Parts: sequence; C-alpha cells; structure tokens
Amino acid sequence: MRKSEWNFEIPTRQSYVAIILIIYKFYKVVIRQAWPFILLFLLRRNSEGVDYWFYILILFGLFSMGFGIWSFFKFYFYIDDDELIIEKGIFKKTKISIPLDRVQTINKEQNLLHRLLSVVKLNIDTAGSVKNEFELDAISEAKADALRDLLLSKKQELVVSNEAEYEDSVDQIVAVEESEPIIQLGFLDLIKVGVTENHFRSAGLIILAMFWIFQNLEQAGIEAEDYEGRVPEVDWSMGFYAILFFVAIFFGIAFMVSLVRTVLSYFDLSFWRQGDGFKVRHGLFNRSEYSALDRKIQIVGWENTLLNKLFSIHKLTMKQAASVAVNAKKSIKVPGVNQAHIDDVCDYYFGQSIHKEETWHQVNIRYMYRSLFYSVLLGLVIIIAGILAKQHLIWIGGALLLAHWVYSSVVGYRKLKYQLTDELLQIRGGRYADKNSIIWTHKVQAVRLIRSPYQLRYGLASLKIYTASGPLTIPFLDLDRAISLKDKLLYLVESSREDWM
Amino acid sequence: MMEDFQNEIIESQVLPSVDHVDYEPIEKNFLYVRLISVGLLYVVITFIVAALLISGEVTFDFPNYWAFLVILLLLGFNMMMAVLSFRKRKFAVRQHDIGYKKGLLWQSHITIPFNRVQHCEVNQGILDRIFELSRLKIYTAGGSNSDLTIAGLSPDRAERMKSFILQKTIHDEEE
Repeated sequence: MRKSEWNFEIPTRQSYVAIILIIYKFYKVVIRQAWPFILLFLLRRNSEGVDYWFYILILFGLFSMGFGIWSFFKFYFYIDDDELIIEKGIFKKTKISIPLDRVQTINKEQNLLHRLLSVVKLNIDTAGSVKNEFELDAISEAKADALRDLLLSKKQELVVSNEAEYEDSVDQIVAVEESEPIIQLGFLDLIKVGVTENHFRSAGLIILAMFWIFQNLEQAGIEAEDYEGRVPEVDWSMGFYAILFFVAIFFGIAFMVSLVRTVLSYFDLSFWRQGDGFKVRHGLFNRSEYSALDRKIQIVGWENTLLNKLFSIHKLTMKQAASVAVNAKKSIKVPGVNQAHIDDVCDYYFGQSIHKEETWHQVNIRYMYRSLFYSVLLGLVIIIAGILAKQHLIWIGGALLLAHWVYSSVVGYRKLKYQLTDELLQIRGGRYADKNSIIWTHKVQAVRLIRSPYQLRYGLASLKIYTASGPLTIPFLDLDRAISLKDKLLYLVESSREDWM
Repeated sequence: MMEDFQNEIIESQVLPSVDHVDYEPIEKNFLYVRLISVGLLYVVITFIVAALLISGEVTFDFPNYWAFLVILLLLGFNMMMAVLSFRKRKFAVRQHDIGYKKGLLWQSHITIPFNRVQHCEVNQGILDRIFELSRLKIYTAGGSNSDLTIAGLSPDRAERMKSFILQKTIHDEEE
C-alpha cells in the first residue's frame, strides 16, 4: 500500500472545488424542482415594466452561493480511533460517526463537472439503512484512493482482531491494485448492446417523459391546449398507413434514444474482480464506479432480449442486499456480456459450487394450461368483438395478441426450470428472452408456500423464496414437491454456518 | 449443535418437514377482534353510501334500499369468511424456525429460520387491548413481504415467544 501523504486523523475539509459542486448541486435541485416556473418566468420576460423577479432571482442566486461557501468551510471529516467522523452544518450542527468495521462499500463517482475539476465524489455505504450512507462531494482522486485504502485496511485490522476465523480472507480484501478486468466493452460491443436494447422500453420512457412535461407545464399554468392551434392538424382519415408511418418514426426515435443512452452511460466499461468483491466502472460524461462485496451480493442473474440473441449477449446483474425501495440503485448491471464472461464471474463468485449439477426440474404442466386458457378466452373475445363490430384492425390485432399469448404460455412453461443443490438454487425462465437467477441457499431469508383456489383444487402450490434483494418465485409445483423443496431449503439455511451478509 | 447435522446425506424423506408439525391455534378472542373490525369497516361504508344518497351525489336506477341489501350481503359474506378462515390461522415454533399458516381460499404458509431474524417486536392495537391480545411481529432482511405477524396471542405468550426468538437468534449468531 502506498504510504499516505495525508494525515486523516486531523479534521480535513474537502477540496476547494467542492464549493463549486455544492453550489452546482443546490442549483440543480432548485432547477429540477422549479423548472416550469423558471420557464414561465423566462417566457414572460418580454412583458413590460420593471422586473422585480429578475432581481429576486439574482439575490437568491448570490445568497445560495454564500450559503454554499459557508457550508463548505463548516464541513470536516477525519478518522478518530475506529470511526470515520463527519462534522457539518451551519445552523444545525451534525456529527456523524461511522464505525469502520461497518463500512461496506466505497464507491467513486465522477460526472462531467468532477472530471473538469479533476476530483471525485466518494460514496461510503454502511450496513445500515439509506440514512447511514454518506458522500464526500469532491476530493482529489489521489486523496480518495488513499482514504479508501486506509478505511479498508483499518477495517481489516478490526475484523481480524474481532474474529480470528476470518484470517484467510484478510489479504484478499486489502488488495486494491487493479488487475486485468474480467469484462471490458469496446465501442463496437456497445453498439451491439444499444442496437439490441429493448426498444419498447425506450418508447415507454419517451411517452412517460412527455406526460411528465405536460403535467409540469400545466402546473406552471401553461395549458397544452392553448397551443393546439399552432400544431399542424393531423388528418386521421389518412388511416392505416399514416398510423404505421407515425409508429415507425416513433420507434425510430426510441431506437436512437436507446442507442445513445447505452453508449453514453456504458462507455468504456470495465469490470474487475477486486478482493472479495467486484468493481465496475463506466460512462462517458458521468464516470461512475461501483463496488459490490461478495457478502452483500444476493442474487446473480443474467438475461437477454430477443434481439440480444443475434449477438449472443446477455445483461448481467448482481443484486446487493438493500431495502426494497433502493434496490435498483444497489444492483450492478453489466450489459453486453457473453457466456464466457458469465462463467468467469460465476466461477469467482460461486467457486466450485457452480459446477455441481443436479437435475433441472420443470413445474407442473397446469402452469401452461391455465395460461393458455386465459389467453384463448381473452383473445377470442377480442377477435369476436372485432368481427362483430366490423373493425378489421381490432380482430387482426386480437389474432396477433392471441398468437403472442399462446406462444408465451407454451414457451414460458417449457423454459421455466429450477435446480437445487446443497449450495445453490438456480431458476431459468423467460419467454422471448432467457432469464437466469442463482442464489446461495444460505442467503435465503424466509420461504412461503402459497396456494390459490385453483392450485388447491389440483394439489399444487407456488413457492416464494425471499432474499435480502427481493423474492424469487417457483410457481405451480406439485404439493409434495413444494413441501420437500421448502423443507430442504429451510434445512440448508438453518444448518448453515455461513452468514447471509 | 449445528455440527450434528452438518454433513449428513440429505434425502428429502428424512428431512424434518414443516408439514408434519402440530400447529397451534391462536386465541379464540381474536375472532371477535376480526369480526368487530369487519363490522366497523362496513359501518363506515354504510355511512358513506348513505351520505352520498342523501346528498343526491349518486342516484341509482333501482330503489335505494337495494344498495344497503348488497352491503348487508357483503358484510355477511365477509363475516362468514372471517369465521371460517379463523381456524386456519395457526403457528408453530420449532427448534430452528417459526411457521405461520393462514388463509381459506388463498392459503399461505411462511417459515422463517431463527438465524435470519433481524428483530422482533410485540404490539397491541386498540381492539387487541380490549380483548387482551398482542401481536408478535418478526422482521427479516427479506423486505416487508417476508415479515411475519402473528396476531391474536395472549400478551404473556407473545412476550415469551419474543424473548425465546431473540435468545435463539443471539445464540445462533454466536455459534
């Protein structure tokens, strides 16, 4: 480990450029909350008379700038004994102390502004709730690394002195030198990922964004209807081809959006094994770096989309323990990985256990029957309604939907498989896509057996297996099978000496 | 203690089964709590419907008393379900876990191993207090859906179960 040039035991402020970042953050929050009003204000500027609002805005800007500078000078962090301590606050003073052995992950993040000022944001995450997480807005990268190394090594000492049995794993955690990445994505890989994204989702996001903009404008007093006259009239009598044309354009935009979004956010992606965890770094303008310790990872999964199959790529996710609300933020996502990458990651994370094979079991065939029954019922209703109303679009659409549902029911049943060894529970599934999830059995929190009236009638049950990053479900098992699976899982959890985190 | 069955060959037939355990019913008094809370819900619904009808906000094509007949019917159905499903509420504390069954038409049976319990608490609602009952709530890290609430325990029982579970979790962690 590098000899630290900094003494973290004396209270230190952040890098001076943090002032800029504090102010920037503040403005960003204000603008995000109040942008319709600001827009309204700017639109009204051409009205005559003295604009008091303008001066109020400037005053407000100056005031918050002073506030930012002041709070910068009141912010200190230092290490005292075995605790990391943060002192902050102008009027209301706060002192946060974090026991070092509770520090879970330390993430570096760098957005465009950070990169221009050559600093990083340091994110320190503890075992507790969201409130126990905290950030240093801006410190120089070298200092961030030194602090991280120090925190990790201090944490090591504590772990060692507390628990002798951890001794073997010690050296591994301290290792901070970067080794060869397991996964690295070049520009071409990213294009592949972007092109084969789920464009339906991008389309959905665009529609959502449009709704959101309209709503905010309405709140600010701008009625979309007022501008109706200015929008060229759409002649709906153009009919089918016109609709097709608009749909095509819309999906073209969605396609571009997902392509650009993918390339920007995953630019220059690297994924490492680091000590007892994984680290991923990516992004063109906003560089972000996340780490996940093995202990915190609960579910390892990978899935593809129909288009992904063209290039046989998957998206790998590693879900970390977290309260359900912040789940999305807590999972590491790596798109564009191939099977060899996945095998590597599984080898690192699951070790030998991943190679123990058991038989893959299917669920009861009534899972398919029931789904088929509803598909046919609903499909026929739509088709018949379309024919009776002499609406060709409706019955053609209904027939397509029916075909889609029938296909989904059959394939969804045939692909759904699970395997339980003494160490791992694996579930495969998917319809057009392929989905895989694997968990250590000792990371199971609780098991629930559920029976619907239909399942009661046919002697079936579903199992819901809860983990600290969400549940996994195995539906429509024979009752005996479900009970014995539950018994085995509980036995494995109860007899395991491994911690789930 | 754990070592005893650490490396045994696992055959599902010999595994301790969650199904062959004697499940204990909860206190009889809890049925009254259920019935009263269902009743109170319908009192509120009746008042809202009555207020809407009197103020003329809502008018039906059929005579007004029909609406109340429907409410009465639903109340009867809910009461019946409360009575019938009451006997389905059962729990079992074993050496290593706690299980809870409930539901008549939609059945659910959750089991939480003690070595995955985060914390547990005992609380009491207003109706619970009147009928001298307590609720035992057990939290895991698996999110709110995997938390377990056993309502209708005698306060003494709930407290004893709580301290038993806590002592169990500490014990398991130390091992």
